[in-house]
Amino acid sequence: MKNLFAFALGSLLRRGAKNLFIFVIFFLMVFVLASVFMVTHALKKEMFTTLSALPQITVQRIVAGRQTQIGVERVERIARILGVSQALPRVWGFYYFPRAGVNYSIVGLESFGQQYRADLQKAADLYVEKLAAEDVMIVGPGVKKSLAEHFYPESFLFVKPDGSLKKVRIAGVFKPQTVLESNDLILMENSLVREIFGMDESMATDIVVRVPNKEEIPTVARKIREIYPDTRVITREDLRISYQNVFDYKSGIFLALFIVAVFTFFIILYDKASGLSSEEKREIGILKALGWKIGDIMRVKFFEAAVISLTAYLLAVTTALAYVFMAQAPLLKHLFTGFSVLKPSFALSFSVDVGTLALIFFVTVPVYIAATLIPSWKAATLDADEVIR
Amino acid sequence: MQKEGLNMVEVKGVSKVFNAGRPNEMTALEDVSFAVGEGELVILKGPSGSGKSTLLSLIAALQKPTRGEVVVANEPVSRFSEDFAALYRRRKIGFVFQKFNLIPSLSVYENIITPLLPEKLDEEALKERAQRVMETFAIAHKANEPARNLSGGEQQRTAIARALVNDPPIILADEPTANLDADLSHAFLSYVGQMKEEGKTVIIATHDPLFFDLAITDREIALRNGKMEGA
Ligand SMILES: Nc1ncnc2c1ncn2[C@@H]1O[C@H](COP(=O)(O)OP(=O)(O)O)[C@@H](O)[C@H]1O
Ligand SMILES: [Mg+2]
Repeated sequence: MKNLFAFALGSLLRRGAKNLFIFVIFFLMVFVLASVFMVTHALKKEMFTTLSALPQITVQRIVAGRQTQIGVERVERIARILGVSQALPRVWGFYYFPRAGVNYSIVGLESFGQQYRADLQKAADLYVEKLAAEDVMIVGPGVKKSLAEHFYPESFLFVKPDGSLKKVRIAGVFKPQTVLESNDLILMENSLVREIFGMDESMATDIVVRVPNKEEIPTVARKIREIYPDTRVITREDLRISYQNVFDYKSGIFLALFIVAVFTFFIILYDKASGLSSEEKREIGILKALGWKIGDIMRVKFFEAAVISLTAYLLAVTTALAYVFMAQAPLLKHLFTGFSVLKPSFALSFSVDVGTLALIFFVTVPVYIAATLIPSWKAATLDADEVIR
Repeated sequence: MQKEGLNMVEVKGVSKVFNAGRPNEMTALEDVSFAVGEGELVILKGPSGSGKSTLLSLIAALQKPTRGEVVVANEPVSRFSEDFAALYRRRKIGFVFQKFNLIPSLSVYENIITPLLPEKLDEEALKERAQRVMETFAIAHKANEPARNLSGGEQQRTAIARALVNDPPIILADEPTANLDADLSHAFLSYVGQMKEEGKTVIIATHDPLFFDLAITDREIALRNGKMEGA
């Protein structure tokens, strides 16, 4: 058995160029399939946790087709609608830091706590007193890093809309968390956020509404629209659907890619299944004439096919794991994260869908092995007398 | 151990019909019977297409006769299953093919050990057995050379070494000199003498007159159109 295995390895090397081509195609196909499935799986999971942390209803004011500030006096009116258990104004926005060329998300504490509820509560609670006491902020690790790089290790000078500066001290850094993507986040008191963005006390960025009974969400949403015709009312369900659409569309792009890879794979399979080269046939005939059993020949063919397909599969899956979770899937991730309006950056947190990997395995490895074994078996069961003539 | 008069190979009323019942039906052998004693050298002669190769492949159990049977060392090899036939070839038959049929991309050493690979032998044993035949047939210096780079004479010696590596009692050779010049053909003849001295039973199918009426030959069997002449 050991000798036959060595013979099989030798055969693979002897037909090196051809086998390398097969290996590369096999590798690429499994790599693309595995990467795309890993990214979509991780993003779907992320999307799901994000969505479940989102408010059931978000109310924005629209002027001239654009979102603008909303009066906080509306909170009270909305809270009185039947079925609404709570309505809260949120104060948040993006702050552009030109020297680093990045946008930070500045979120007011109250809004923030509501938006991400339980997930954040842990991180935020620790610092609540500090935040209330003075002009301080809690920043994500990414913010901390980029500020430090630009010589703001302890505090930062925000430029207010009127040009004046506001110094805010960094009171703490979020611990890296998986569920909550807090990398580019800055958390501070609502009043401080208003000051930095130049927002009036009576204004908020938007209003979030909690409706305990899911069934009542559409009714409540309709009522808000009736009371305030200038608002856009977004339900979590709306978001879910639009995320899903973007997602499905992006997945479609990859469908085309798969088709190319799979097509090539099937050309190889067809080539394999449609018969052996005369050289390979002759070799099988020689081996039979030299006293190899059909089983011996098939064992060698099996080893050859198994070695090439298994190594290609394993290498492709490990490469895909490294590409997706260590390198955070450059190129691929951005194709999928077009829906970053509510959540500017996504981290692909490690989660392997074993079922999908098994599925990829079963549509590639055994199929390839079978496509190799069948013609070899045909050739091996024919009379081998041809080689002796 | 050599019993007087023991038949090593018995061909009993063998016929072989290809494509029976079809328009291209072809009777390659018809009612062929003969016996070869242990340690004998038999020359199977006849023009091209007379059925020599077919007969050798029946003796090697590479195919089955349409009628009759082949008995080797008292075993009905023509009735063996595929696996038994393979085992029989591996243990009892050394085959020297026309055109040698080496695997071109394998080295001399790898070609020679090929018949041994299905056996449970360790690296040491493989090397030892190969070394023995490579030295006997003066090819050891080319052990790592791919077969495709060999000269005609070297191919011949590698093919013979491969046939003998598992020390089989029977050697079958099909037109072994068809692709060789006069010198190499004579060299082959001396190897045949060597095999006979070692007590091998040797059957050579050929139409090369070099093999006719040799002193070391025990018997010549002439085939014509699948029938034995003078039978
Ligand atoms: N597998 C086969 N199918 C059909 N005809 C065959 C086959 N093998 C041999 N023959 C025919 O049988 C005859 C004898 O062939 P062969 O044994 O090769 O003769 P020789 O070796 O004496 O030249 C030839 O006419 C050949 O065409
Ligand atoms: Mg012939």
